[in-house]
Amino acid sequence: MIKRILQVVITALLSYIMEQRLHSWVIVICASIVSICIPTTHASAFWGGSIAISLLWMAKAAIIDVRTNSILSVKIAPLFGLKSSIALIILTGLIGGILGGLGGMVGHQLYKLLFVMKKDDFCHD
Amino acid sequence: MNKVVTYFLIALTVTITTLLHISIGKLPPLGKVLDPFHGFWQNSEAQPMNMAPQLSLTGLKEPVNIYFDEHSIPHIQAQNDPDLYFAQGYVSALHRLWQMEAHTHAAAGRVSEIVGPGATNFDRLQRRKGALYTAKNALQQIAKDSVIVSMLQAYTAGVNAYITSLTYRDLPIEYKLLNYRPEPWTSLKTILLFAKMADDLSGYDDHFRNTQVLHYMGKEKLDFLYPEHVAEEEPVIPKKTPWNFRPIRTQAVPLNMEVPTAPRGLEQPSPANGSNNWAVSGRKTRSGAPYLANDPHLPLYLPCIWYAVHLQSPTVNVIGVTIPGAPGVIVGFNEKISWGITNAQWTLRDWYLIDFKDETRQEYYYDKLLLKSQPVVEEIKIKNNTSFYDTVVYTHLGPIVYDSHFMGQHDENNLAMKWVGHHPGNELLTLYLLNRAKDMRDFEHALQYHHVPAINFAFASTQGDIAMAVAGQFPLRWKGQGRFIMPGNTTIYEWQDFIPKAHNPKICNPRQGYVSSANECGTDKDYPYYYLQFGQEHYRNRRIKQVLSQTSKVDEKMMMQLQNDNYSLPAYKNLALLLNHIDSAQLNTSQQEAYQALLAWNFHNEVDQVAPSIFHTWQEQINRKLWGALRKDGLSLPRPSLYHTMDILRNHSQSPHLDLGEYATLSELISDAFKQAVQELISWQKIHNQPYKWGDYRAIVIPHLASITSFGSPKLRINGGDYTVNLSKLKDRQLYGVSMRLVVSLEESPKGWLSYPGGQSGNPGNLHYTQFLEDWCQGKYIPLSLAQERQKKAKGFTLLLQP
Repeated sequence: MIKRILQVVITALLSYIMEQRLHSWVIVICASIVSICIPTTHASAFWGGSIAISLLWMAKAAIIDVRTNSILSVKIAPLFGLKSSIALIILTGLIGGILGGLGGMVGHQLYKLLFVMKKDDFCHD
Repeated sequence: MNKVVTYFLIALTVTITTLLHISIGKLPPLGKVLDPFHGFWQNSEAQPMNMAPQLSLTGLKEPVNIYFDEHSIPHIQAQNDPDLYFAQGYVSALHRLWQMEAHTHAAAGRVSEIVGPGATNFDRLQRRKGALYTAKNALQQIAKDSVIVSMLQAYTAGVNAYITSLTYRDLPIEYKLLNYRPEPWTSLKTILLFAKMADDLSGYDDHFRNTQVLHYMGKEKLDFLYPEHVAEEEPVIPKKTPWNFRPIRTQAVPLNMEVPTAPRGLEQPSPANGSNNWAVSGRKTRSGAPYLANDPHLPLYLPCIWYAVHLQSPTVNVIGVTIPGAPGVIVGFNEKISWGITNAQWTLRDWYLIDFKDETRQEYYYDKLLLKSQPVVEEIKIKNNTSFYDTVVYTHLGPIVYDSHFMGQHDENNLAMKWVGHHPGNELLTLYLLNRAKDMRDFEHALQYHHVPAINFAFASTQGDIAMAVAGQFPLRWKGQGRFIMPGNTTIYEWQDFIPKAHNPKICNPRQGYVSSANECGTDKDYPYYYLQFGQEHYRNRRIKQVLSQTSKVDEKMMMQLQNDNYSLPAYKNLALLLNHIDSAQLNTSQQEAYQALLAWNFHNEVDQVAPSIFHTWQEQINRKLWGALRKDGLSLPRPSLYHTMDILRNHSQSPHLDLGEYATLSELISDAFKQAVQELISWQKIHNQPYKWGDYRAIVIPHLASITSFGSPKLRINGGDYTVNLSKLKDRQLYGVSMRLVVSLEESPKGWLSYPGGQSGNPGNLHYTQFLEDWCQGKYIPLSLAQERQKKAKGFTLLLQP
């Protein structure tokens, strides 16, 4: 459990730092790296990355939205067929979640390929 | 096995990540746009100005101080002119970059690049009219003038300083949604803006209409439907103004004038642009100082086409509005003078039928010669599509705009456009000089360089002078030249020369104590040169003259009232005549109510009245019934103006040219139109569940420039209408209206008042995106001042630009 929380916290933190400089695709790499470093199961690698980015993006979006009194989100929401700023924040979280989750899952798979499988290969020798 | 799964997952992740970062169809790249660290969320602004108070920019010579007041109007203080225009470029881009570039893309015929195939015909027309050819000619002309070259270069450098500072996060929202990036700015782009403005205001052409009516209906019908002159004309330059020059000789009218046939149905877009301006002498004002007023009527969009700016350097101190992308101030005032513009609507382009030797269109007949044409292949890039290639054939008269490949009906119709604008003057120099003008002489000198479009410049100075001048490069025409499409195979039909600039009509300090223009005819018949005007105005101008001549104690309040005047002169002139055709005993209850409302009407188009809705709808119905034949048999002719329609109903109702269609008498037609109008209003009332008050029935929405619905304005209830001084007009689903109102008092230190539909910021996520909109609806203004102390008191934001 601690491992999972750690994965979420570190993924979010690392993504937050990296996003200051780099584009949004960097979160996929962040989620992968964290999930390589903190190995869990397949499912929790996905959900860990997903929850981390989802929360990060929703928190950031919500902060902006409150600070700016929803000035722009109310105009963007209809473009996505949404009725409210809150729905737009949730959509933001959803897209972030997909990207983070995929990253986490790939990370876990890479971990298995790089470390676990090497062990297996070694055994076969 | 594990390996395969891994590769598959990596491939899947890369694919999905990529898909979320590119734009698919009309959808923006979701991941990129929604990312709260870089995407649209970052365009939400908590404060009107969100930036560091100090910036260091390469390209500046000395520090520049910019004070943004509480309306985000930049007051730029520079120590030299290049720095001034650099800073202007920088702040214009800061507030309006996307709009600036969108305008230049439109001017260059490159809209399809951004929005896709929907705009291909628009782009082709721009290319065929020779947009780039015009701009390049203009640049060549300007290259001779080092002052203007340096102004353009500095402005360009300023815009680019801003563009290069941008990361994806800082891009204007439209770039993110439409998924493209700004290009570097160039002098050519600024010139393209002027070329587009000149093209828009060179208006539509009556040539096609006249030629079609002449050929398919006859000369008599032409003069009946679209007469060149009307009896009640009150020209811009007052009647009986003496012309103190000896006119140069015009070529004689050719014998047996030939008019080539025009293809049926060929139609020119007919924009409803217009404007008002006037100046009042100190003799008629409360303060003893002159006043000047200007309100241009253009298609309305958000962001507004105007941007307010105050420019200060050792050579200039001027405040007013400009079009983002243009250096300097286009309409405004300095410490000594003020000026305002309206479209004079003098015809500056003619159409020629080119007689090509064969289908290759490489050679064409001209007198006894065979001249070579010049084909130019235009590549129109289209978003998510392959490019479209269009060949534009240039002749010595101009480019072929219409042919069998583009809206042409017959193969043999190759119509070349000859336009003064293809070889413009130095319009930027005119503005540069006006910004610095000190008196009437400077004003007159500045206008020498203005060629296109034809503009009525109003002028007032602190010395107490007022003036109105028609400026432009006007072809010297023989009587009737250019009224129709002309043969392009002989010298006879070509322009031989231009009217000398010194002979352009103008009036200084007239006895009446005011000058005014509102797109009406320019002069009385005594003006010694023949000229053509398109879309002459008949009501606004007379109302303005009426009010100005009757008022003796003018102050700014009165000037504002007149700009917001909602008095419908056509209703006042014609309502009784129309009502006389109706037998009120024959009306049902709702018709009776409408009838009574009209009887009680004070002729003001105000939001809470129902009478303007009735009059408007009724008059539309009459128009439809009277002029239906103009859109039959493959013809698509514009209807005669309301003024001409009413003139015909009043004075020529027995004319054989008046086709009443299914109706036996005019009264029957008019009362049936009335009943149908009321029916239309009642069904509107049922659908909308509210009474057909003018403000609701004719509610307007100002759309966003790229038609992003939620970036447009909400529904607005505004006073005014098609023929009021306070104009608002829906034509072909396009909204035209008062794009800006400026009033200036030319007292010792001049002050001004400004209003426009929009706000200084072009960002829909900024508080100042629509800051002035509410005031604009209600006819309120914000003050403008050249003085420093006053600005400092207000709360704003100071930006220091350093080299």
